[in-house]
Amino acid sequence: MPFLPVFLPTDVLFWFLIAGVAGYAAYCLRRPHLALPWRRVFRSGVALACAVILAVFTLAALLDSVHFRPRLPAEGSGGPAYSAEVLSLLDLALSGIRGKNERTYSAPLATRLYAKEVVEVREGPDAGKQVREYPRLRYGGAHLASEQDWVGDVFARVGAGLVAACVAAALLGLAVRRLRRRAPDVPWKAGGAALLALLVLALPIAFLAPYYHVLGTDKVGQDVLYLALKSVRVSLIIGTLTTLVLLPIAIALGLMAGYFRGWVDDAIQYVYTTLNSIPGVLLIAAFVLMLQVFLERHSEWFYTAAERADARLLVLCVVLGITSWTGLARLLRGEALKLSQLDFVQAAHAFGVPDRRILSRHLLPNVAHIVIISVVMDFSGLVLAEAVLSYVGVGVDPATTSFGTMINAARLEMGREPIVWWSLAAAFVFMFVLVLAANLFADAVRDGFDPRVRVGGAPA
Amino acid sequence: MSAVLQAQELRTVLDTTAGALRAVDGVNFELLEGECFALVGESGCGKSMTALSVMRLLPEAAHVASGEVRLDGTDLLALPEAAMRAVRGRRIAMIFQEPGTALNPVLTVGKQIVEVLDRHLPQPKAVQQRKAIELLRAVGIPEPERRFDEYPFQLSGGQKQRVMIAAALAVDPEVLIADEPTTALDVTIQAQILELLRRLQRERRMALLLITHDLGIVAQMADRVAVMYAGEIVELANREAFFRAPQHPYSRKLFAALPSRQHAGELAVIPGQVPSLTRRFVQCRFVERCDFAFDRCRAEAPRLYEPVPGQRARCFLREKDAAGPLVSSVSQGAAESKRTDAGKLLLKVDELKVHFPIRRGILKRTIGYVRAVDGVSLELHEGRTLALVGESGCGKTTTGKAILQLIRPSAGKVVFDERDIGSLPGAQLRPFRSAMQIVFQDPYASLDPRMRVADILLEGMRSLGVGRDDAERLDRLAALLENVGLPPDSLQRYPHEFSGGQRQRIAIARALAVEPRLIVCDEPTSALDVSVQAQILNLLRSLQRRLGIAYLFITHNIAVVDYVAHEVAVMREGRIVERGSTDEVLRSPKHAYTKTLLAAVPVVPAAGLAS
Repeated sequence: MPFLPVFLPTDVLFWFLIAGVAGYAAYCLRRPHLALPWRRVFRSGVALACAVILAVFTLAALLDSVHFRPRLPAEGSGGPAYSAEVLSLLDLALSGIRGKNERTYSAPLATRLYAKEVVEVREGPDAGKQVREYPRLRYGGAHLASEQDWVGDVFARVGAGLVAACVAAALLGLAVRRLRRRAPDVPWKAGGAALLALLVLALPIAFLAPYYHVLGTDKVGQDVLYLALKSVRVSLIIGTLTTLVLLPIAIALGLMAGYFRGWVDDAIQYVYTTLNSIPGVLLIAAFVLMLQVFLERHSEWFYTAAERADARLLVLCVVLGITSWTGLARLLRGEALKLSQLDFVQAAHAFGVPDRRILSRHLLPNVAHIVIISVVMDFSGLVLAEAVLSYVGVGVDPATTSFGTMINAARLEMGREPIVWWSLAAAFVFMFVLVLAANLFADAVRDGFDPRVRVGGAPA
Repeated sequence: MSAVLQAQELRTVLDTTAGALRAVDGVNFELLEGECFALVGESGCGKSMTALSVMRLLPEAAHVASGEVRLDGTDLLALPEAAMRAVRGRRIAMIFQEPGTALNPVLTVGKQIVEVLDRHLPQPKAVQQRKAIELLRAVGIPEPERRFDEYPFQLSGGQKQRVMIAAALAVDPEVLIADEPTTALDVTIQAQILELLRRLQRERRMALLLITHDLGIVAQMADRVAVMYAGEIVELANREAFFRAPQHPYSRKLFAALPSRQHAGELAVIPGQVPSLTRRFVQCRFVERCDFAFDRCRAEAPRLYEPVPGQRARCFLREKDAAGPLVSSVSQGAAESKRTDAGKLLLKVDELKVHFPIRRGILKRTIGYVRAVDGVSLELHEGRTLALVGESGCGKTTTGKAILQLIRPSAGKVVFDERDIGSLPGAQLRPFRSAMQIVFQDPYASLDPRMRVADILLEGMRSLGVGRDDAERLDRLAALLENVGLPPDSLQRYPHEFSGGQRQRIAIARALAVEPRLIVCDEPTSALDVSVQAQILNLLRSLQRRLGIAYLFITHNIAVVDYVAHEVAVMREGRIVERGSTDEVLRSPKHAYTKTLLAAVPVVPAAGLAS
């Protein structure tokens, strides 16, 4: 085999989650009362545009969640040897910019390094002399014969990208028209516009990226665009896998507290009130530091650095989940208190239906909308929490690229003179777009599931 | 008398996902000085929307499409919002159905009245306060000086509605719109509030637009009556003429659907449902439900004809001649209706008590008890109906639930079929669960919205092991659906696809699915319209006749009691004050409370029911 597949735990869970969401969507489609709120959500133009943006981010994360170790060229006898470096499909797709490392910082689209170095002059009259200057980059603009061609070359590539975008726009227009004919009440135009905006940005970048560092390079000369794209996966995994940990706890404890009342309610309330009063960062820091020691002691468990970093990411998800279930549990407790007084639950009692069936058949489906809303709303909070935790140093493994580690690295750069702004700006823009899209989408979901916004519910 | 308020060709449109819904479609009426004009109709007929259109307080999704509302000649619909605010409260005031939500809970009662005064008649604070206290006294609130500084939660429901009336009348409006002002109140309180409204209206010579669904209230209060159906006024008449000889077939059906002793046989039902108002009508809107429909009704929409001077009806039959006075269908024979032969004793309740502990403090010490049910004794025989009557909060629902062991009684015995079930632990209760079932008041809350009808009906059968397997149970369900009059394809649908009456049928089917011998009916018809109530009452009675089920019928509606019950128990503050056969209790009440209760019930004049 030319490669050895690597199954990182977070990859597997993330794919399961995506499959679960797809399964839920299929389940909803067949049940009109479940599909209805989602239809309302996607009737909003903003929601559809945000969904498109989130889908693009998710696609990047999914590509980044298929890992393997490429086979090394055979050396001598013995079995096939595989590289110690774990790659993903996204790395393959980005092979144009991956690994083209400069020596240190360089500005976006620059052809020379951002720091002066002593170089030996190779040609001309001064050959052999040592000069202190900004040296040319190894990759960025290396194809240019003369640096005077820089402006023309950049414009040509951006132009080519825009032409490609125009072609894409035409195809998109056709697709939108067809979709509008099939489902006229979905604002396909908004979705198309969002996709087009992404293409107009992405295509010129795609044309530039193999020849320039579009967003510059960081301290060790890595391409910032590559780092930013790799960070998307960590954000999405934190934002989604955490909910996998959080949901079972929150749903089980919240519903039980509201339904059984009495001492069960008291006990659960004490637990979450106590947990709520411990500062979250403190708890997470304690967990992560303990874990760090633990992982170091058992380094033989992991074949590669990627696996160790992944284990830490997974634990971070679990820890975040354990510390953030209280809000949802409190909401669900209140809802269960209300629901368990409703007549249909009383009717179930009159039939002698056992408690566990009442909980699963009557209460759970009737709080599903609250769960969905809170999951979507929590997502952006968790993405931001990761950034903060990594900044403080108790987040993901330092070897993992994430928005948090990028921002953490930028801490030093901001103090430099002249200032290095592009890493921070790239991390900020990517995260901002992701979180804004998630927040706007969450708003639309809340509106779609809120019975009070329903049109036509007015008294007659 | 001159017209104070005139609505002309008023059309109000509601935007819904299904399209524009014409909630009010060409309504004309005028409100004369000092009269009480009643808009009557079932839910969804557009009576509240008419009132809200007049006040320009429509919900966001609705707007007035065309028409005029003239108050002394000025068109209210053309006024800018700022000028309209000066009209609202000052010249037209409105009181709403739910006094609990119409008052701001964080402001004192006095402040809320002073607020109205301050907005329309700025005066020194002391004068306003005096005036507010005066108003509170006028609406019959005891100790108005003290009540002035109290918060709404310290008042009872009836007192809150009085405060609302005081605030509405603070600046002597010319027109008062009362939207179901007593629907949320008990009968005795209702009688007081109606009396108050009538007195104030007479004293202040104000015009009252009364919106209600209760023909009894109309008979007591109104000078003129308009019946609304599907967004239109179908009949407009003076009260006497209306109650003597209603002209529109719909109005006549409404009377025939009212349960009472005179209607001993099956109640008349109006088949079908109100047509969807999103479609356009070329035909008569009532045609699909009318017994007298002929070809012209399907091709042309009737206008308001005037068969008798002063009485108009929207029906082609009334183009030339008037309909005669109502003749009741008493003749159908009272004997066949109620089963009179009592079976053996099924349920015996002895000194039942349900006390809820009041807990305070960190350790939740019990500092007292709410005695919801305090020594109730009942007896119910097979195939009979016992009505448990009382006002809200008297413990009648708690009694019902305690009999079913949904709430465990604190003391007393519940003997069902010669076994004391009150002392049985949960597991041993299961055999009795199928013998005793319950039907709830609100058909919207009693069915799980996330389950299909089939699952709802099967749940009890599965849980209690009725039927061998699901195939056999589904067979039974088919027969059951026919029994309660639901279409066979209902099983695969969700509750929200059904109307209120159909949902109540589903709830009854759910109870019947486990073959009970006793059904506790907890106000099964009070959330329903009169015509739908008639269907459900007919269904319950025919089921009793065929299956011999006993009902414990919990209600506050005396007319329904009279129609369905063999025996009556009147409850007050957790105790039964009077018990006996329906005739004894309703015709010759012994206890003072029963007498008050019966006197408070607004009665549709006998002339309207039987001539």
